[in-house]
Amino acid sequence: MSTPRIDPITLEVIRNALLTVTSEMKNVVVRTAVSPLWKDAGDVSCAILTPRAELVAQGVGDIPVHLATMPFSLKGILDHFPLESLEEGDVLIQNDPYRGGNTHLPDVLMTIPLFVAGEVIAFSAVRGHWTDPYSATSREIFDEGLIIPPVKLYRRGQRNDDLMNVILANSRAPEERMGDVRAQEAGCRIGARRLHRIVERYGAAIASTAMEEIIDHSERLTRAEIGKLPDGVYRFSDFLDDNGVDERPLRIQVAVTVRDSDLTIDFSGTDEQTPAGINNTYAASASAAFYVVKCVTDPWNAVNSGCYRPVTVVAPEGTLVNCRRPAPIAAYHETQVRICDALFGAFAEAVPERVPAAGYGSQGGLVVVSGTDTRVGRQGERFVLYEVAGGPSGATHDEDGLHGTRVGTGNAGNIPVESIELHFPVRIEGYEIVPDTGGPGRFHGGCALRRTYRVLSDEATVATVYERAKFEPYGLLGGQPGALASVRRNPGTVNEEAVTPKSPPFQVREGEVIEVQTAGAGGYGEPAERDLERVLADLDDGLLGEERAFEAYGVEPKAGGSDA
Amino acid sequence: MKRVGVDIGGTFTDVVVLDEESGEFQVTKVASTPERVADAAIAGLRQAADGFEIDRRNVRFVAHGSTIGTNTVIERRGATTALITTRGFRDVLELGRVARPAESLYDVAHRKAKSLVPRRLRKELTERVGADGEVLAEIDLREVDRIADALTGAGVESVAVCLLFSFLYPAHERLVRSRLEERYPELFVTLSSTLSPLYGEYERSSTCVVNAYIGPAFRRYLRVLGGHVTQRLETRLYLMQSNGGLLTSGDAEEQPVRALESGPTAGVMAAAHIARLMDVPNVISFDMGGTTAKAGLIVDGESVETVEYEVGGLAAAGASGHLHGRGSGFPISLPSVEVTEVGSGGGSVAWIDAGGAFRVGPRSMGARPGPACYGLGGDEPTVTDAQLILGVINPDNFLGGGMRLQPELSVRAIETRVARPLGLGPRQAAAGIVEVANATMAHATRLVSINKGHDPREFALLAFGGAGPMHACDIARELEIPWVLVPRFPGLHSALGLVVSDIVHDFIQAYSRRRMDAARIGEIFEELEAGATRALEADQVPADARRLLRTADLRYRSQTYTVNVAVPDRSIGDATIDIVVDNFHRKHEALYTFKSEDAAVELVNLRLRGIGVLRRPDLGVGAKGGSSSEEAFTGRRAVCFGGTGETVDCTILDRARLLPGNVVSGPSIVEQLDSTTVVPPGMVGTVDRFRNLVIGSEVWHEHASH
Repeated sequence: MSTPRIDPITLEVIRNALLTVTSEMKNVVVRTAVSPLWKDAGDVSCAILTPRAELVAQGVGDIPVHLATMPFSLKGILDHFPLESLEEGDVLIQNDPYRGGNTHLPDVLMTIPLFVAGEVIAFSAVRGHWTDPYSATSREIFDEGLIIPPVKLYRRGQRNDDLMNVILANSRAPEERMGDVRAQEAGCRIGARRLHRIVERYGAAIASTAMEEIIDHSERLTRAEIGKLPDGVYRFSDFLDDNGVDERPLRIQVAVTVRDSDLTIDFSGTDEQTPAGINNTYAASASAAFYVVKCVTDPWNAVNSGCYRPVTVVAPEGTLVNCRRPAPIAAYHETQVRICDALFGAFAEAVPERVPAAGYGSQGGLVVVSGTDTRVGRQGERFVLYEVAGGPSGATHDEDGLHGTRVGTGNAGNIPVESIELHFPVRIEGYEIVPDTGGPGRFHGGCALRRTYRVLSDEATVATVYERAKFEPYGLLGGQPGALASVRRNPGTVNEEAVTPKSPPFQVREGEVIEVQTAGAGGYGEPAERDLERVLADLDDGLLGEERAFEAYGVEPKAGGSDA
Repeated sequence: MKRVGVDIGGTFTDVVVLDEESGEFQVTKVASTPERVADAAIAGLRQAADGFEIDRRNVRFVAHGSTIGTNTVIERRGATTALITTRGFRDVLELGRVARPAESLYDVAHRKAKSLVPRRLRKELTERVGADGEVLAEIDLREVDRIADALTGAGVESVAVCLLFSFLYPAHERLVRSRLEERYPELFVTLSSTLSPLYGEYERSSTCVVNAYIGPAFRRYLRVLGGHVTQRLETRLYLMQSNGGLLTSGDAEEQPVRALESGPTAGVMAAAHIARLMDVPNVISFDMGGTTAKAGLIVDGESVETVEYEVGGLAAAGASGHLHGRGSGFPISLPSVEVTEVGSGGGSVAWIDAGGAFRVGPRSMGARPGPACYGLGGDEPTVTDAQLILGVINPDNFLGGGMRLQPELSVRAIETRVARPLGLGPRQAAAGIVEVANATMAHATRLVSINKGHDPREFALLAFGGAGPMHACDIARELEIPWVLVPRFPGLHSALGLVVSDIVHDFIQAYSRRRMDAARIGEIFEELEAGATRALEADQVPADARRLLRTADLRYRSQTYTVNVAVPDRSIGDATIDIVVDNFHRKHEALYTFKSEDAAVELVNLRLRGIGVLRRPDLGVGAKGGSSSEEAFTGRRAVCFGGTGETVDCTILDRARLLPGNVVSGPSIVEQLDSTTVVPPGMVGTVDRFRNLVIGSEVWHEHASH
């Protein structure tokens, strides 16, 4: 196909139109989906890719790691089904992390090729998290659920019902699965239909040129920002608590090399892959790297593959950040957050004003409570409560961190307490900010969050995945680290016990309490430089106790100043 | 009898006086007084009363719309407010739903709007209600007393009370209120169970807190304005609510959060009224001013509502002028006419980004310094500058000549900032700015309709605001919308909405049982209806003008989004429930492309809307003229349309002199005091009997039923 020139006005119109397409896709998916994780938490992402598997437009607000791994997954599909083997009416899916790349098995990519005159000119794609409980204690990928290699769910418009039946047979909630698959499909289809309209209007050649130019443009914007960073090599390492099997900490080592407008991110020195589900595929690690680069260079403009072209990611095979089949990866997200922490730490040396101190350092504390309801009137109902309740972010050069937010590449929201108690045999007994847990600094890190679950069923299993129980989130430029995370079972009773960060699922009885406390986040700048007014306000607000106010900030509280 | 509407905007306060019998209306404007908002409203009322010789015995009511509530939140000028929660949950208000706003995912410095109640004023009470509405822990009133003493000691003027599951068991919140009021009668107390008895502790607290925060100031304001209205005009004062209905000022004093979005809502209500008169069932309202462009949806004559919106989000600009979106402000879970921002208005800035791409918006120059041509120091090219260069805007007739525009400043701004870097001429660049702005607004407007399951091609576009009628035809073409309607006074359109709306009281009750129990549903509706009837009686609405509308929110089990469907107005039995469920399946399919008839359906909320129907006045019908519009001819000038950069010799007409029946052939520009309408080449405008200008590919023939 020849590449005609395109005027800047038409280009801008098409760029906006493509972004609208991804919004429309997301809207259709979220509105038609069934599982709370898709509807409430929006754990689903939409994009348009070129035939070369480059992202050209992605949904604003969609999950960064879902999106940045799409090119890898689509390449995996195209390795198996080259462009010329695709046909109109095909719908493809895959979740195999070792064919192209993926985050973990629950994140399933679905895509539809758009044909014009017999040629594929783009793909619409939706990646969504198929909810089924998992823990980080798997030993191999085969323990983690159904592996779907690149397959055609529809071939020339005809659905492969046998395949669908295999999928449903592997789901704990087949009705929900069916509903979500249908929603995912509706999203892909609306994307393809809208793309088609753009092509009709401007012609396939102009549309293709526009897509290439949109990606080139993002590359230029990113290179311009990288060019402003001081050349050099910036190193940092951070640690994961352990793998849940033994007690050994796991190191993430990064070296960021800035040269002109190019970046190399080298993970050499990172620990070897581990027989627990916290490994990252190359695609997942690269996505974390891309995320951090975007944050540090140009957080505001639209994201596509052009933003990632200047970045070379080096990750030695067989390590935590480039695991080999059949390494397990279910709770990859915990390592992913630490990869981000390590990268931010490295960039802090180059551009401290664009980097936050470390946040709570986990995608969790992920809590899964599942089982069978034993309460009167609801006996026998199966349930799965899967929740990420958020935590604090690190301070930046000009502001305190937030207490309740998400950090890193995930962005699912919490579930309302009243909604949990309506649907699940669980009572939430508190959702609170924990004082004295944010790292002191000129700007303090956000304080830890504590969420307390009382289980009301006698047949329940709890699994938790969390991090930062041993290595505190770091502070920057004199800012202090945040407090450690913990999960406790039956706190304040004779049966109190600590739950390890990546516990195997354990049985609980009616009335047992699980208290999840995240880490606090890191502070930024010397605590001695903190504005006295802010210290006093924190005292009044009970975010800071008198003892700590004195220790960290040298402030003698006025008598009776705190009601904490 | 006369109805008077007063709409307070950022720059002007508009007054509309409508004669109920003739449908004629008179309009006037005064400058707004942001420091003392009531002053402008009172000045406007005086000016109208004197200028139009209004007999005070002859005024049916004064209805008012303003953004005072929203501004109080944005400017953080509300009362010192406290929140009382269930023990363990005082931080819910600050933590919210924890997800970051969509646009801020890569912005590590993103911040949420700071909580309206600082942590030190969020107090916990030992009490607990469970998910079936059962009491798990009794309330201790002595603890309430201690909290009340501490709060008043800290200078608190207003208290929000939001306890878990209070929408199923409101008794605890009510006990807190009576105890607080007993001890401190001057406190402004808001209960979440009264305001918004719905699932979701964060959204309910947020709604309750915003009400508490704006309550005291709103009450003072309404008493000043209401005092004037009762004394000088001897009539009642109503407020426009976000749901499109009027509320007496007495009720608004208690629940001012209901009136947060009254200005934009009034615009949609006026559009709905005009559409009904014209017998056009489906309309997209498009309101474009200097700072924003907003779209609303009218389907089968009714404005489309949303169950939740947000106020006070951060409009912090990043390097690209990026605006933070949903998730950065405070959710309000009350029914509201849905008005969506689809662009940044005539002040949108055109610029070249660091990667060399041509962009328009989202940053806006607003009214100050405004577009370059205002000569107020703005040196960045805006959409208004582009329209001036293209010849669409008349530099000598802007705001009726009230402001002389300087085209040379527009040319300079466009040349230096956009045209030269792109290698284009200024006119070409100006055409590009308008094209990109229109395409962006069209895409966003498309989402407004598509997201609700509607095809924009089945709608008409009703354009108002100063800039709406300038851009409407291009947007309509992009969306394949056949007709563009431009009301008689596009710039005063929102004020008109105030005098053509009904009185509305919304009631809601979350439904707590898992099975749909006809008897229980019937009981709840009876309670809600009794409440609505009392409210309408208090508003002196005669029995034959009262309407009670039942609806219900349903969903498939495990879904979160609900779908609102009508409930038959008769005694509830199992057959009624079947009808409701059937309605739900059908509406779900229309909205979301599928239904699951074998899936379990849950009833989530029961809603009741009590309407006091005010006679819907016809708008005045103008004396009929011929098809020629030459009486309105004021001159000709060269105007550039579309992306070609070619100019066309164009007819200029005066809107005030157009008569019903006149036909305006494109290309024409129609000028009036507060707006400019473009009839592009190949299009034709027809003045209908209400003096709306209807633009399409052919002459508009009014519906035979008129």
